[in-house]
Amino acid sequence: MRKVIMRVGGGRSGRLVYWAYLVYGDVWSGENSQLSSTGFRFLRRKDKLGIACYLFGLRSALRDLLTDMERRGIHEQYLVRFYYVDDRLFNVLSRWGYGLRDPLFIGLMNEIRHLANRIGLLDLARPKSTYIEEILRIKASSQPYRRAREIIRRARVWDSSDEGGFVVCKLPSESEDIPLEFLAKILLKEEARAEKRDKRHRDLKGAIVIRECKEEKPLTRALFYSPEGCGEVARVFSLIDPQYRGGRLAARKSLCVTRSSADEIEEVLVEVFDACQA
Amino acid sequence: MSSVDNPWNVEGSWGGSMSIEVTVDQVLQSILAGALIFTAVALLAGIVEALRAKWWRRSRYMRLGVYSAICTILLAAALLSAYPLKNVSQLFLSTLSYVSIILLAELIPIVAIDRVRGAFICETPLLSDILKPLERKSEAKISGIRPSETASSDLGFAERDPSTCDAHEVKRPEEEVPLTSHIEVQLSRIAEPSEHGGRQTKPQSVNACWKTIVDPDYEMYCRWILRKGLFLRELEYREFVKLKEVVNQVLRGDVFGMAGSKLGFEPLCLLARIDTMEDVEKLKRSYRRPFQKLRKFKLVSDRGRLMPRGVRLVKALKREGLIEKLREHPL
Repeated sequence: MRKVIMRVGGGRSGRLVYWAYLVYGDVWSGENSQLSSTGFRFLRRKDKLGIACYLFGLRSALRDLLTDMERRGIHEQYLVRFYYVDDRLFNVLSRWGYGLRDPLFIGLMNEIRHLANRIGLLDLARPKSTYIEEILRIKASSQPYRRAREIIRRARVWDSSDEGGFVVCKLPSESEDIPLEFLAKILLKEEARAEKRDKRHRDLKGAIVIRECKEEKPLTRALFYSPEGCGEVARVFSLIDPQYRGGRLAARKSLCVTRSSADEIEEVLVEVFDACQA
Repeated sequence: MSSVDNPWNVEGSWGGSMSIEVTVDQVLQSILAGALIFTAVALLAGIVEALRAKWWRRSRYMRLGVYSAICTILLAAALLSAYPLKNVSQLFLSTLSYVSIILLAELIPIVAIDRVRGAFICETPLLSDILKPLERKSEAKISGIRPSETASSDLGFAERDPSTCDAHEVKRPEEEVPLTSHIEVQLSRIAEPSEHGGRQTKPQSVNACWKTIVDPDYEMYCRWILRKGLFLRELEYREFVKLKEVVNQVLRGDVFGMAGSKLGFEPLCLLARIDTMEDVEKLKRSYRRPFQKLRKFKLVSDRGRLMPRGVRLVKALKREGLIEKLREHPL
């Protein structure tokens, strides 16, 4: 039986959880690359509390390992050694969540047990130090940035004004694994970097990112982000957009949820900018 | 004696120790053979180009081949009438036979393949003028629609035949085209209802009722298309008018036009390319003048991104289905 080392880092303090695994042994016969992977996952705000972030990270790592095995056609059993960083995590995992009442945890534990049984055995081990988790966090933290830049590169971006103003970014729908807030921050950073590169100061105010959610009842989310404040623009948007459903309007970060499509939102935004200029 | 009388004799610089005799016959034969070979090669290149190029692009080599063939015929007629050949060399005869075989072989794809035939007909000046109206008439007969009703029925404008635009009309619109020459867009007569309720036209009175209106912008657009070497125009007059209306409506004013001070077709094509998220930096470098025009009308920002007016215009063009046509136009 081959051994797999699996670790989960990050989480708790932030919404990002990182995971990594490495398979020991001659499992990749004929392939030079190791059966190993690192990944990340953005958690919802309520999921980042307690040990939930680690459980989500573990689930993502097990899912990725299983997918990788199926892709390579490996039908071997593995001994997965998971280094837990919290005693509560050990208690929950060692009893497969027995005694828990929260349906979120119960569902999560059931899925982890199902995945672990398909892969082989799940072994829990206490790390001697959390140094590796820290290294893992540093190593894996470049991944969301790379992914965010890739998404922004493929997105449709336009400027509200030539001198300053907002950058409007219509995101592709397959970018749902990255939160709008993170993308808006990265977009602003990229713009600032481009300004520095071009040696031109154009007094950028903020960024607006729009993403369509393709569900049964399609909703579109528009996040207004500006360190200088964008409350007025968001407020005007909420007044002008006929299909505005709700959101969270604040000074620096405002989220607007609407039933309008992304194209319609762009048109509304054009009117909003005209209204704000007037 | 012949070396004294014949002005084509050339004496070498080595004092007449060797002399190369070149007769008029040989010069004529070499000119004719060269012209024929050039024609054959140009036609071959034209056939290949017509097969490989996009359907709307005019084949440059086919044009070269056709005009070279016409020039060769005229040249041969002029030269041989002025100086009939006396001594035809064996080399000339063999060259003539080989080139004739090649030209005949080139006729096969010209006749058999639609794209090549179309390109050949379009590039041959008189042939295109004769064949295109015939084709249109037959199409109208087949579809059961009268020629006056086929093109632009809602606006009542007859379409101008693209193939009637000769290659020598390819000019810069701002510099060389006189403003007095206008394209004729003919307004067809509205059909009168018959006694039985159906539509009925009176062919005798149609010509008397036709009016002629002019659109210099459309004429300039046609010339611009020709200058770009397109085989067919992408926009019909109806679409052109729609484009003009959309641009003027969105940008609020008489903005659209092919004149230098207005927003022309080239900047709009560039705008459509920018909307498709092509490499903006490359577009900025390659098409500086249209880009400056877009900047002037505040459609794009300095970084080459769309601005609110540009977004509004692009969306309006998308709604009318014109943005795809603009994208297809070469810059």
